[in-house]
Amino acid sequence: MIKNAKIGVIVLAAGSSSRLGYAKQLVGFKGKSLLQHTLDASASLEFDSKVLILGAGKEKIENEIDAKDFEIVNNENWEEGMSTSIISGLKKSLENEKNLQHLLILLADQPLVRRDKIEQLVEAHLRGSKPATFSEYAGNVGVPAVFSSEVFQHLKQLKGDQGAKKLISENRFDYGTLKFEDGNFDVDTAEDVERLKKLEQE
Amino acid sequence: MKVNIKYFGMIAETAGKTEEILDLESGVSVKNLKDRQIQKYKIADPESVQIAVNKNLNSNSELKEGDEVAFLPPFAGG
Repeated sequence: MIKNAKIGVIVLAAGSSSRLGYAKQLVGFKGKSLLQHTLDASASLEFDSKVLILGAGKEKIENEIDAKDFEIVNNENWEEGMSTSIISGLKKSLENEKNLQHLLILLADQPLVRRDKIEQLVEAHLRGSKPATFSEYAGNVGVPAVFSSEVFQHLKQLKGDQGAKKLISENRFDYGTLKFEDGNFDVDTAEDVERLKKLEQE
Repeated sequence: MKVNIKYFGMIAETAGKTEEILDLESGVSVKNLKDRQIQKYKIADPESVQIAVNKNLNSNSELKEGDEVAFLPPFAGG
């Protein structure tokens, strides 16, 4: 991707969902699981650190996916919320590359986030001068997002179920956005799975 | 036997606490404890409540002394 910047990626896949009754990370879409889509989309890109965060259902998920060159981190505090996954992912990324300049955060349930979108987002972040770049779709701003090292301290201060959106709502720092039409569709409920099935047929 | 109960998200708000230690008779099942606490605190939408025992979801076993039982909202973690 970009050779002269130190960039890490973390995939957040430690959550649980009772609405589905099974691990949403393993919901099938176009022949493979949602999590596998995320891993495959970024596996072929050059990152200086690749970390996959697992928690709920870790063993089952680990057995059913090909983690490729992602290092798996077990977030033992997954119950406490998304912040614990972000913080453990950032910590491992900095252990892997102490001069890490940028961190890309991806979710396990966004199968429409493909390789080209990830590349566009990272390139937009590197071209811009803002300390963070978020995806924007239909007026919503969120993950996938890229953060520069100057705001890592804010990520480390997240608590409980706070995610990156918390930082936006609190105006902790300036950020840019990149618009996508469908990139942030995520899967939480049985209705979302039905929507996925329809997309599969398109 | 004593077990450590943790409540998260909306469940913690409904229960008015994030943690408590309960002294239970031996042989109590996870489901039984779940039913008891849901009734005790009048937790809404019980079908959506997830239970994790010692960080593992969907444990149907009997509880043991020292177990940590988490009551989780429909979407937990990330």
